[in-house]
Amino acid sequence: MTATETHTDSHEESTDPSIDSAFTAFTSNDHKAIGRMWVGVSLLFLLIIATLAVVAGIERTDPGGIDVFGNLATYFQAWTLVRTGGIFMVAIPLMLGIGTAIVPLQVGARSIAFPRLAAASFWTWLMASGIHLASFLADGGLGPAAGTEKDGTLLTLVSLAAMVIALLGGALCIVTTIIAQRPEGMGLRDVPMLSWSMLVAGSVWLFSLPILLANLLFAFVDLQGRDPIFFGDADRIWANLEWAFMQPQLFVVAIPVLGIIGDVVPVATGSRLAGRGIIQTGIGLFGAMTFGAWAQHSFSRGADPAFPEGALLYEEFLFGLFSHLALLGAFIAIGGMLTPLRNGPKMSAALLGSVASALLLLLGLTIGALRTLNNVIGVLLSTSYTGDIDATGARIVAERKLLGLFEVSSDEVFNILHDNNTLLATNTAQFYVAVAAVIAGAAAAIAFWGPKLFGGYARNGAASGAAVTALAGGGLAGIAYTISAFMGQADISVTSVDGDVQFMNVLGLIGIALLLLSGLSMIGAVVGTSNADEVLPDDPWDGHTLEWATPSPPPVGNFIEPIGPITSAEPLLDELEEVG
Amino acid sequence: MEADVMHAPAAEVGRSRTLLIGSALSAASVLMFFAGLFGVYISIRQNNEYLVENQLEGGRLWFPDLAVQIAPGTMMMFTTWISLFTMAWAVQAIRNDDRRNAYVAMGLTILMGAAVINQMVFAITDFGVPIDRSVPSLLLYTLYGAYIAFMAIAMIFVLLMGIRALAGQFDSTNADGIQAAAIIWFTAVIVYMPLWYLITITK
Repeated sequence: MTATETHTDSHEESTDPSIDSAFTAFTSNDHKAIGRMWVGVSLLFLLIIATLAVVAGIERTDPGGIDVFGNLATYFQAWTLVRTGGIFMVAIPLMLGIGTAIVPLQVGARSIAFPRLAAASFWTWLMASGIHLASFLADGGLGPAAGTEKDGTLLTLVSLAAMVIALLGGALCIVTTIIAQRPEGMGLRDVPMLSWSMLVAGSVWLFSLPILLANLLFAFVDLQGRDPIFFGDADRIWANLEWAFMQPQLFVVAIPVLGIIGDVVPVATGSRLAGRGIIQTGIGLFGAMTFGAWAQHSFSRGADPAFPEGALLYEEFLFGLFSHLALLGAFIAIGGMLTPLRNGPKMSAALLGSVASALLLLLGLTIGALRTLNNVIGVLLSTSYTGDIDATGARIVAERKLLGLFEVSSDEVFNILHDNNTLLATNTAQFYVAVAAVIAGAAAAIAFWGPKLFGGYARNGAASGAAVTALAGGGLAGIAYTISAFMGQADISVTSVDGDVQFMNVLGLIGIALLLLSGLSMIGAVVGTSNADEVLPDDPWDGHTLEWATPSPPPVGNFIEPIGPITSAEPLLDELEEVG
Repeated sequence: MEADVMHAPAAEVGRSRTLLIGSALSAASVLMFFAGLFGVYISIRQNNEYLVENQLEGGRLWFPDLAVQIAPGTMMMFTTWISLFTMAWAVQAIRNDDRRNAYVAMGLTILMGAAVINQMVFAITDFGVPIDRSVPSLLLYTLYGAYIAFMAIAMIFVLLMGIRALAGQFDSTNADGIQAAAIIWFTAVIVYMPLWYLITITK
C-alpha cells in the first residue's frame, strides 16, 4: 500500500463524515475529512498571524517613534513571518482545504486522487507550520537580522520548504482528480468553476512553487558549515525569496476565489452562467499572469548597479505588463460572473462573500496596475528617446513616466528605480488585500458548501460578518497602505514618518484588526455549523452541479450510485428546467 | 433532490490514467525546480561574465582552467541515455506480459542510476573546484547535490513500481505504474542534459 495508489479501501475512510471522532479525524484519508482539517487549522493559524500582523502594524504606524519589537531585526522577523504565514499557513491551505473537500464531489469522483498523499500533505504541512512558528521563536527568520541564530534560520528555511512541498502534494491530488477522475461526458469545459479555478491554481502552484524551493535550497546550502557567502547572506535571503510574496506571484493564492464566485453567483441568481468559455479564459489568463517566478531578484540584471538602465527598464515594463494582463483576466472573469446579479438575487452570506472577494481581488490588482502603470507608459514613451538609456536616459524616461500622476521630483523617481524599498511598500497593501479576498471567498464557500463540508448550515450571520469585515479590513488596509506607500513610507524601516503617513498607517492598522475580527467570525461560522437534528436536503439551494446530487453530508464514496454520462456543465439545472 | 442523472448508466469507476497524470504533474514540478536552479546559475554566470568583460568590480574567474573535466560528465550523459532504452524496454515488456524481461530491464535501469550517482561522486571528488569558497562552487555543488538526490528518488520510484509489478499489480491491461516510473526516469535523464551543458561544456 503506497501513496501512489489511487483508491483506498472503504473501511479506512470516515464512516460518519458528519461527526468525526478524534481517532477518525487523525487517521482518515477521506477527502472531506482532510479538507475540513485544512480549513479548520488554517483558520486557527489566521488568528495567530493576524494577531502578529496587528502588533507589527502598530510599529509600522510610526517606526521611528513606536518600538514594539525592540530592534529592526525582530521587527523584520515578525514582518516576514506575517508574509510567510499569511501565504503558506493561511491563504493557500484555506483554498486547498475547500478544494480538497469539494472538487472530487464536483467532478463526480468517488475519492480524491492519491488519498494517502492528500492526508500526508496535510500532516506534513501541519508539522512544518508548527516548526516554522517555532523557528522564529528560536531567533530564526529570513534575515537581515543582526543576532539571528544561524540554526534558527536553517530551521526557518527547512520548515518553509516542507510547507511548500506539502502544499504541492495537496495541489497534485486536486489537479490529478480534475484531469483524471471526471465522469464520462464531462469535458474540462464542463467542470464547475471552483474545479476549473483549482485546476488553474493548482497548475500555477505546481509550476511556480518548486522555483521557490530552488531558492530555499541555495540559501540552505550556503548556510552550511561556514559563514554564508551569497544566498544565505542575511541581506540576500529575503531578497531572493521575496518574489513569492509580491505581485504578480502573490495573487496565485486568490485564483480559487474566482471559482467560488463562479459557482455561488449563478445559484444565488437562479440563472445559467453565460459566456462560460470566456470566463474560463479569463481565469486562465489571470492564473497565467500570476506566475511570478521570473520576477525574482536573482534574475534581475537591473538590480545590479553595474548594469545599464535599459535592463532595469525592460524588467519594469515586463512587470507592469503582467500586472495589467492579470487585472484584465480577473476583470473578464469577474465581470462575466457577476453579470447575473442584475436579476436581483436573494442576498445570502455566500453571495455577500463572493461579492466582497471579487471587489477585494479587483482592488488588489488595481493597486498593482497603478503601481506599474508608469512603468509601462514610461518605457513605451522611452522609445522616442534616441540616446543610450544610461543613467541620464533613465532619468528622462522616469520624468516622462510620471505624466503628472504623482507629485515627486525626478530625483525621487530615479531613487524609485534604484530603491525598490519605496514602492515595494505597496506590497504590504496588496498582501492584505489578497489575504482578505481569500478570507471573504472562504466565508462564501463555507456558507455555500456547508452542508457538504460540515453536514450542516454554517451560521449565516457569522459568515456574513466575516465577509463584511474582510471587505472592510482588506479595503481599508489596502487603500491606506497604498496611499502611505506613494507618500514615501518604506516597506520596512525604523525611520520616523510624518503625520499624514502616520494617519494612513493607523487606518491600515484598523484594517488589519478588522481582518483579525474576520478570522474570528469565520471560526464562529464553522463552529456554529448546525443541522439541528434535521435531515438536510441533498440540494438546499437548487444547485447546478454534481456535488448537489449527493446527500448532505456525502457518504463514503461520495455518491450512492455511480454518476452517469454528463451532457452539460450544469446537469442539475438542466433537470430543474425540464421539470419546469 | 434526487437527480435523474443518478439513474443514468454507470461510468467506469476510477480511470487508470490517475497514476500517469500524477506522475506527469510531479515530473513537471521537478522540471520547474531544476529550471529554477539552472536559471539562477545562468543569471549569476552571465552577470559575472559581463562584469569580467567590462573589467568591473565584482567579476571573478568562474572555474579554474581544467578544473571541470569533460570525460566524467559526458560519460554520465551516455549512461543516462542507455537507461532511456532500458526503461523503455521495461515498459514494453510489461505491456507484453513479459515479466522476466520487465524485471531485468528495471534492474538494469536502477543499475544505470547507481552508476550515474557513482560517477557523479567521482566527478565531485575529481573537481578542481574547492568546496566552500566561492559562489561558483556553491552553485556547482548545489546543482550536483540536487541532481544526485533526484536520481536517488527516481531509483526508489522505479524500485517501488518494480516491487508492485512483482506483486502482480501491473500487466498488459494496466501498465500504469511502470509507465509512471518511466515518466519520472525520463525526467531525470532530461534534467541531466542542461546540467551537462552548463557544467561540463560551458563551465
